[in-house]
Amino acid sequence: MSSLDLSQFYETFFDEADELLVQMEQLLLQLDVDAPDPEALNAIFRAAHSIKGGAATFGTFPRLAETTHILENLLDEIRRGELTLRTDMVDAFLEAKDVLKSQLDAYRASQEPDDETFERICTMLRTIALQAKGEAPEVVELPLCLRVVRVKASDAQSIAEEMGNLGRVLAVRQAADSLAVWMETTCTKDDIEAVCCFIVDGDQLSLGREALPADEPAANAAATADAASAWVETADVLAQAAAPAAAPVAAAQAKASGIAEPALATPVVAAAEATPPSAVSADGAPEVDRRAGGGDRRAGDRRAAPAPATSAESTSIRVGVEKVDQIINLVGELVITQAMLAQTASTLDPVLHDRLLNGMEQLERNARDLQESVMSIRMMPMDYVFSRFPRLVRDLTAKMGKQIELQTIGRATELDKSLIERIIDPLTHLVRNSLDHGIETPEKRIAAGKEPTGQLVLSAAHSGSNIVIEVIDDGAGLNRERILAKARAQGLAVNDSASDDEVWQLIFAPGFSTAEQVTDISGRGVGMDVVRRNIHDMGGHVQLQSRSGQGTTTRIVLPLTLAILDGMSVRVGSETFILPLNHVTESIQPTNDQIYTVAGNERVLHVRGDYLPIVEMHQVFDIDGAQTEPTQGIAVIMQAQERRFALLVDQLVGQHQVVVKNLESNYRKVYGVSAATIMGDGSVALIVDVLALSRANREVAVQPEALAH
Amino acid sequence: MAQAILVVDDSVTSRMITQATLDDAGWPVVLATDGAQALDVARTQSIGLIVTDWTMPGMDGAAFLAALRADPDLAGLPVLVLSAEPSERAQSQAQVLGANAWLSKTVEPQILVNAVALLLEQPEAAA
Repeated sequence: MSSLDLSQFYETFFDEADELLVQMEQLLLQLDVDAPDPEALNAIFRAAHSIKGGAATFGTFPRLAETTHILENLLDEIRRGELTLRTDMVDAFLEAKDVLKSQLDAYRASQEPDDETFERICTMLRTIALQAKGEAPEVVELPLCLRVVRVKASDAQSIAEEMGNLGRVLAVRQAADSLAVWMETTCTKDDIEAVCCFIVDGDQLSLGREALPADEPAANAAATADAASAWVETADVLAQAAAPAAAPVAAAQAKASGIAEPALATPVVAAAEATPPSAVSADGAPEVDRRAGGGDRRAGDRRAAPAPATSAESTSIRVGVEKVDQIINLVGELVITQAMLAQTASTLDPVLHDRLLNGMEQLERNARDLQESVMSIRMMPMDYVFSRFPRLVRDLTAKMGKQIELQTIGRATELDKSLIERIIDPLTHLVRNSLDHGIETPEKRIAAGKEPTGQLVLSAAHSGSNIVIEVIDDGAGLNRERILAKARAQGLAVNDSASDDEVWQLIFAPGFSTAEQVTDISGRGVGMDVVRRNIHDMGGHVQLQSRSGQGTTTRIVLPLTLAILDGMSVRVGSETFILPLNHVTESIQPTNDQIYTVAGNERVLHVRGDYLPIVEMHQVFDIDGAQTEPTQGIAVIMQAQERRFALLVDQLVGQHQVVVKNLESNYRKVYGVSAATIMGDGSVALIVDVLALSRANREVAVQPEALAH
Repeated sequence: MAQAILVVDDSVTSRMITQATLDDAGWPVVLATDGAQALDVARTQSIGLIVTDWTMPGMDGAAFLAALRADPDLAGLPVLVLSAEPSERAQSQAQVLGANAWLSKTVEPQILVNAVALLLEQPEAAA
């Protein structure tokens, strides 16, 4: 029988372990320390147990296996009621989860995890176990453990024998291509490594101090195996069956690999704990009660809201992102082709070709449905983002000595995967701001007549073809005076009679921060301008609302997806351009008295008291045959970030939903153009980069005196 | 025609590894993610042996074993427990409930194969 290469399963294991760790963290955060939900404790235990099982099976992840093993034992005792749960235990478990994640990441990168971190977390967990039982942790010198990876069975056997010559071997564990030997020895680590290096390379070795594996029968040396029992017979027979491999190795393996021999010493005790079969019903999924003396518990009614379901094998499949993007691209092409066909068909006589035209209508419906369906593949629930915050809030509020309750609304609201990834950082920054600067300490809150526990709400909801995400706190709110003062100190021109909204906008200026102390939690205030820029790059915008003493609401509006765009098509010369509709405010036909020239030759448009820079499309894109006289064309008022400007075009064509095609990958980056699309007549239309155009006219602040017709 | 081996485990990784090991040795394999699903499979398909995990959500190894032995049609099926659970208590419980063998998940694949072969040939020795 060929030996199975287990490394082909590593990826699956890493993914599964990652998901289990996420589950574990969520369950730990939701635990009520005083009355922990038994099903949650079971689930946390099983998560650790599964990861340990996998790590142990491969044999190449010793640190991970050992850490999860200790964690699992502790969790087992807690879920069986032998140990009472305390808050500091939950903290330790959360920290252990972090360590496990870092160990997984290390193994994923084919590296060994950090030894110090490993020893620290193991000591921490062991100390908890001992303290909770009322025992003082003994400082026991753990035996030396030599671990060898990627080693042939014959070499492993040789090394094990050599170790026997160097000291007393306490335990041996051998897996497919790895070896672990526990020993007591007077030799130094260097001596041991030197001996091993006759057989293997230095990078296959690791030498440290570790407790004996818990299932080591050495502890039960006195237990007698009942020779007549079927279990032992099986074990012996198995050992002989494996003999062809290598007799001494097989014998050692069979005994050392955990086949149950000593267990037979206590069959009577076990019987008392075994659940009688009659207590198990076939309906639902009853939890077997393992507590000695406990009655049969139906876990069904005690089941608390589970963490978001991880993919069960039968109901989902993993697909690479590139494949999904490819499908989206192809469907986009299909929609474009369908639009072209529709355009051509629209010129046909409807009576003569009514069957064809009906078919075209059907095709359009099918294409749109297909597109929506495919777009929805990339949509992910906001919970993916929101789920990061309970842990963050917990850690930060502990650090700051505040009490804050986090609520999330609309976790199932969906957003395109790429946007979800990009919103994480800005959202994190806003949450930190609320926690740090927004919500006050309990004392301050009580003094202000509020509840000592601050409220932080994260909400997400669809609104038309957008998603609205809000960060709402009931803290101290924005301080208008402080902001104005800081702005003045930074040399920004401010007007005392400016509206609240305008004052809040000042926060978005680079380098702005009114925090009296720059804390390491929310940083130097260089964040808000970056937050806004990130959101604008995603095609969205951000607004602030605040009431002094009552709290602040930050509102982010994003398009649901970047792959399709609502656009206004305009004509310049013989070219068609698309203006993103969410940047378009209005369009007017300018009259002469609305147009002014400023020093230099820049022109501005006077619209309801504002003087907006005029950007002439034909100039920007060097188009011949276009309308150069503003009064003969159309001025489309555009807004990008806080700049407004007037874009001069020949005429408006219409409003469409277009499929966005990337220009850079098909051609190259072009100034003033963000992407392209294919119109119904097959021609290419360029989608303008509104932000870039807003800077085309260098006039920002306009002085009325400089104006001349 | 060889009867199938039913592998029960809630861990994707474990299922894959066990299936690959048994598949390599030439046996057809059927998978289940928990005891309840496994019972369904055992009742509706032709199964020769069951390899099951012990710690599973929902109907775990102990409950599954008990249900198996309580069903007259299934009581004779050989059951091998393959688990990372180290406690003697669990192993004893398994024995009392009628498991035929207990192997640790850390065993070399060859040992699992030998054990399965043995149990398939000599079901009487396992009672």
